Amino acid sequence: MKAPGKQTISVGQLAILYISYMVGSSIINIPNPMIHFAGNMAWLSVIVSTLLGMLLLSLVLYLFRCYPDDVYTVYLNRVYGRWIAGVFTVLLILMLFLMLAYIVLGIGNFFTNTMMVETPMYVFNALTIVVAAYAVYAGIEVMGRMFFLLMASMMLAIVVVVFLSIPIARIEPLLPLFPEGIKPVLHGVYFSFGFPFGELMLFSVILPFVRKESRQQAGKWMYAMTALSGLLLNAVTVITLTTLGPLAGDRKFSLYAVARLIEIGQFLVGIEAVVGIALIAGSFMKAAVVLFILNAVMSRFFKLDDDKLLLPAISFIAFLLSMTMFRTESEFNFSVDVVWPFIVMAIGVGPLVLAALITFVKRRPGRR
Amino acid sequence: MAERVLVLILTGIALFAVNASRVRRSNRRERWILVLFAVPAVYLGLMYITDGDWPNLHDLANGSVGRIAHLMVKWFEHT
Repeated sequence: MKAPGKQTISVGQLAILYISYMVGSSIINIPNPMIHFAGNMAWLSVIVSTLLGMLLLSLVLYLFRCYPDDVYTVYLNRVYGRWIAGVFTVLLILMLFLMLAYIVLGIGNFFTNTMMVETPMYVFNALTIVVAAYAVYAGIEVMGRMFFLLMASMMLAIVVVVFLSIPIARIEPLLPLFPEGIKPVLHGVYFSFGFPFGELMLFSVILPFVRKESRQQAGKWMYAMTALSGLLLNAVTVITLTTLGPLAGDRKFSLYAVARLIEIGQFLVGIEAVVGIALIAGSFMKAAVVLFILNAVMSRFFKLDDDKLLLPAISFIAFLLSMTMFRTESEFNFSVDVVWPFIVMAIGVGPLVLAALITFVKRRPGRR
Repeated sequence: MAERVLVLILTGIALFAVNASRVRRSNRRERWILVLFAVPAVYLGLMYITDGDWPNLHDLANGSVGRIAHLMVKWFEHT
């Protein structure tokens, strides 16, 4: 695998990759389950998850400062030793395969449920994975540049939907506060921390690719982008609640459902198609970033000289996983809503937090 | 079934075509690693073609950490 120094990105490109990864698939998939779990207090769950995400980010950045040129799996080796780190890395690889397959499947589900119901799902899954693989082939810098336009179109779509739906929004669905106590809010935190805020730990694989001269500002940008992700997710959750009311928790792809309601002066109707494509571009960007991370982790794990050698095999397996994993959508929902957040916390966040603690104790001033 | 085989072939060609020169340049060890990847690919490929309901990666997740996750969610839902 090439040293991270050979393919580098600027801190601005890091920010683009990071926000597209954080907002990517979550903006279209989060509001519905969040409202289903936390009811009209879903906004509070998103705020708490954002703050927890920032706490996790501080640990990621601390480890990055301690091991500035090593990717995540390499410093796991340094902290835990070869064997324990090997187990954590294998688990991480399995988690990344699951994650990539879920994102690709999410794109297929979106299209077959909303815009192109007659088209077989393999068309969307195969196209997504092939295009993502070619994006990763092009390299992380190209991804950073290319995603700027896709991200801009996605942001524009979100802002347009949020602003145009304000006239049909009502404040009543947000009240009363805590109608069923604190547990639904905690359920919302469990879900939204697992997806997407806990997933930010995977950026510890990408941070060493940032150019040395601009690394000082990486933390500042990442905190800002985490806050922006929280703000966007919250805006979308609140607008979904206030426009769809009691139906909000039952409508899949709620932002798309909100876009269908928008009708301005008999001429601005049917914008959901444009919005839907812009939103799904976010899921594609996330799939490409995850594929890049998976490829980087595996190339390091197998100590390969050619960092792109495994890319087609990884992509092909991810495509097959997305086509074979679930027979019904309820199985998929159970895996994403119930199991996935726990996987992120146990396999992703847990070892990282422990590694940060061990590093902190080892480097404590005054320790011999 | 023929449709599924065609999907696999076309997707495989689209993904692996650009990699042929890299495989030719690779050393023996790297080729063995590629062979290692063929095992899950063949298993999942057969599963896809035959539309079989065989154990998959998410079953591993649901059967292990999934139980604890389910208990936690049950606790959240119990008001």
